[in-house]
Parts: sequence; C-alpha cells; structure tokens
Amino acid sequence: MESDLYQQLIMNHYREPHNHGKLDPCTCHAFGKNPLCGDEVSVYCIVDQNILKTVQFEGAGCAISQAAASMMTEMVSQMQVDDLYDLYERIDQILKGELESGELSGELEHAYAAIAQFPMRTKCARLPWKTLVNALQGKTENISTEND
Amino acid sequence: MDLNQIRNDFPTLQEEVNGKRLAYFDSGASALKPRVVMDRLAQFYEKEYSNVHRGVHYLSQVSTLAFEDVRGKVQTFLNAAREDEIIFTAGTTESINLIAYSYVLPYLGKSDAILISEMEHHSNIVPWQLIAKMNGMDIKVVPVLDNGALDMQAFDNLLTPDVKFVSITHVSNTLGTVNPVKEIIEKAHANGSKVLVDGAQAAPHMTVDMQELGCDFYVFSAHKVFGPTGVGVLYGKFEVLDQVKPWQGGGDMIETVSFEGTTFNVLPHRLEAGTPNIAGVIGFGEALDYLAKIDVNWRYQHELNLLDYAMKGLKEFPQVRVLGTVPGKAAVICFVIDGVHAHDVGSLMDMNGVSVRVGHHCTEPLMKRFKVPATARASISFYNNKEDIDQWLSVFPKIFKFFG
Repeated sequence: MESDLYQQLIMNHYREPHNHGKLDPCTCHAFGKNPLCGDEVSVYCIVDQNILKTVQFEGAGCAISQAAASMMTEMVSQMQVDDLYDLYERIDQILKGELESGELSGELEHAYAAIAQFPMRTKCARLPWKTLVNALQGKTENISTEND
Repeated sequence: MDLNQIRNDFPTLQEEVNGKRLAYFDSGASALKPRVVMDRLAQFYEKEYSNVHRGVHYLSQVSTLAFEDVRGKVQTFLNAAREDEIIFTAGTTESINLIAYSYVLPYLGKSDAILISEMEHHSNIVPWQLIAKMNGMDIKVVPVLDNGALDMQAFDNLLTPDVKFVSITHVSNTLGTVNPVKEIIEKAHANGSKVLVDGAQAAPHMTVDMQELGCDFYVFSAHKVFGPTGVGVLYGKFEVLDQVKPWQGGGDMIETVSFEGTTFNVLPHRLEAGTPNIAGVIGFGEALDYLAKIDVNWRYQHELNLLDYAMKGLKEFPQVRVLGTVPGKAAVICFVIDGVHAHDVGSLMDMNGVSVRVGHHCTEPLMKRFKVPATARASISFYNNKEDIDQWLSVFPKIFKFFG
C-alpha cells in the first residue's frame, strides 16, 4: 500500500532525524510545545540574505512531531524566506487533505499527505512548521498548534 | 447473562472503525449508549416534550412527571435515604464546583484546610485551588504509593483538626485503584471533617450505597453510566445538603422574588436554577432502568475477568509497563511502552479498530509522580468481550515491529 511506504519514510525520519541538534550561534530560534500532548520542538535557523542557509531542530515527543520536524528541515534548506511562507501554506493544505495525490511533488509531500489520514494527529506535524515561521518572524512566546 | 445479547443492545458496537471491528476501550472517558436510551430521547422529544415545573397544560405535566421520576430512580440507584438528596447538575465537574463554591468557600477560611489526593482528576483539584485563592484555606495532598494505592499512613497523619473537608475519588480514572472510601469517611467524620466522594469511575461499575458509605456528598456523571452527556448527579446527605448556599440564581430555585429580598425554594429545587437538561435526565433514567436489569455483581465480575485475561496476555510483552497494580483494582489498564510515545500507541491501536485514550487523563500530578509524560489507557466495561482483549493484545507486536 502506498501510504505504508510513506509511513516507513516517516519512521525513518523519526528513528534517524536529519539536521538534528542545537545551532549555536544562529540568527533566530523558537521553541514550540503542545502542552496537552507534550510534544516539544526547538527550531534553529541561520538566515543569510533572506535565504535559509541552515535549519536544525531538537525536541521530544511522538513520532509524527519529530519526523515532521526532520522532514521540514530537508524541505526548507536553502529556500528563500518568502518561498518558505508559501510552502507553509501548502503544507497546511496537504495536512487538511485539500490536495489530490497528483498535485503533490516529492516523497516528503506524500509523507505529509499520509499524516492527513490521521486528522487528530495533524497538529503534531504542524508544530515544527509553526515554530519555524514564528522563529523567522521573531515571535517566540507560547507556540502551540493545539488550538489552531 | 448473554453477553452477545448485551452487545446487540449497543448500536455503536456494531460499527466498523478503519475497516476493522470496533474494540471500544474508552468507556472510562464516556460509555456507549444502549439503544433504549436513544429511543427514549426520541420518544420524549416527539410525544412528551415541554418545559418542566409550574405548567398546567398536559405536556408540561407529562414532562415534569417523567423528569421527577428519574430523581427517584437515582435515589434507588444510590440507595439514598431521601429523594430530595438528589440534585441534577451538568456533570461531575459541575457537582464538585457547586460544593466548592457554595459549601466549602462560604464555610471555610484561612485557618482551615481541605484534604485531597495525588490521584485526583483535575476536576477534583482545580476547583479547590480556585477557591483557596479566595478564602485562603490550605490544600493538603495524600500521596500515592508505587503500586497505585493511596498512602493511608500519610492520610492518617494529614487528617489534622484543621482539615474540615476531604474530597477523594472512589476509583482512580488512571490507575483503577479502588480507594477505601468507607474507612476514609469514618476517619474523616471522627475528625469532624465533611467528605465528598468523586464517584465518576465507580458508579458505572459497582454498587454505590449512600447509606452504607455515609458520605456527605457523592458525585458522578450520567454519560459514564450509559446515559446522555450533559447530566450529572450531586448526592448530599440531607442535613448537610441543606446547608449548601444557593448556587446559581434564577428561576425554579426561588420561593418568592422581590426587590426588597428573595426567599429560596426547598431542596432539591434550590440548587437547580433554570431549565434543566430535561431530555438528558429522562434518557439517563432509561439508562438506569436498563442497568437495573443486569446484575451489578455479574457486570463487575465480568469486567474483572477481562482485566485478568488482559493482564495475563500482557505478560508476553515485557516492554509494556502498567501503572497501577494494586490488588482489587477496577478494570482500567494504564500502560506505557518503552520508547514509543503514547499518541503513537493510540494511533496504531486506532488503525486496528481499538479505541484507547492517550494523554495525561486529566491527572497531570499523577503522571509527574510516575515520571511519564503521557500514557495509553484501556478502560473495560461490561459490554466488552474476550475478542476485544485479543484484538487489543494483537496490536502490541505490530507496534513493536513498527517502532522496533
């Protein structure tokens, strides 16, 4: 089954996260936490001339939150900040199940689409993205996706 | 008893979840409803509906009689001495808040204390914290032992003369521990303290006898006792309940109203302002009638047999740790799997048709005490069967493989 394939990809990112660890120094960072389920993600960025040169994360929580953070760092690396905001919107659409399979590009987008099958868990996948966007916008207080 | 026939009484049990047969283990959060309850609601809304009390027309009489009839059913269910000891609320939470704001807050002050326990649900912690900010009373907490039992030694030591009120759960929603409430009530009364028992997790499973327990207040929710949501019960021993100050002001709770002063109605109406959840209460009455036909001892023993069967099955999986192992516990299994987050456990269970609850179960202090961020919980009801347990057990190897 196709979704099993993407579940496997999510598990790989969970077991061996990419771009993992604190970045010090960095140009911006933020800490996101969903207090009800306890998922935590810290996102660190080095932004140079409006380009996301390096994005790393660390955290603790369920497989979906941590894998989503790892996959996110892969997707946004070397991206223009303005393009990142567009991608943020797009990931939100994918997690809401608003895009057809044919409209998705790349295995990581398909992996996010697999998470959309669990509506109660999409908040876990959105947490690192919201934390990243808040870091870039300089908002670092009370970042959570539980009431979105 | 014919378990298959019982299962046929619950339409939700016939539903499929994610293409699998449903194994529902979330009755501790809310119980499924027998068809008779839903039928009763429909019949009431179609043929008998009107507001209750003070009506002279036919429908208002029918609805008032049906509504008040349930008070008697609850009295029987609880073996309360009087019908007017039964107050309808919105749920366990509202019942506790009512006592907190209208009994403990006006009567207790800075030099007083209340005693609760480490295994309380947030609804039996936070109301006391809120009123403690107003009246300055102290909140003392009885700790929980490693096996999930209440530390009765500590209870004895904490029950000092300043403790005027004890609020304790009958059965822990997380650990399944059945507390020695009778002993607690006797000791508290000897100390001059009044006692509220949170029966939310006891009333659905076992005999709860007010005259035998002798507690001052007992609270539970209808929706966990196979009735509709939005209905709760506050039982109060008459002499004590009569001391409870008016809770919400409004219609029904008054005797006469004037701008010079208002006088209040008698119990139970004094504590039931406004239009109550008429249909919900009537549906709850039907649930109690349904339960009365199934021997309570059979129900509880059946649940304990399933608990035993489940715990034996779990022995195959040393990676699974169960919180709350005290002998004589109720059929609740709170578990954690090394290296797998509870939410991932819950989702994988769900993919296999098994409904468990995950998270802190509204008992964060207890989670902290057992040093776990979250757990999964399977709560067993009398409509569960061995096939449900087998289905639950069959998911564990899949979880280990997935996260292995």
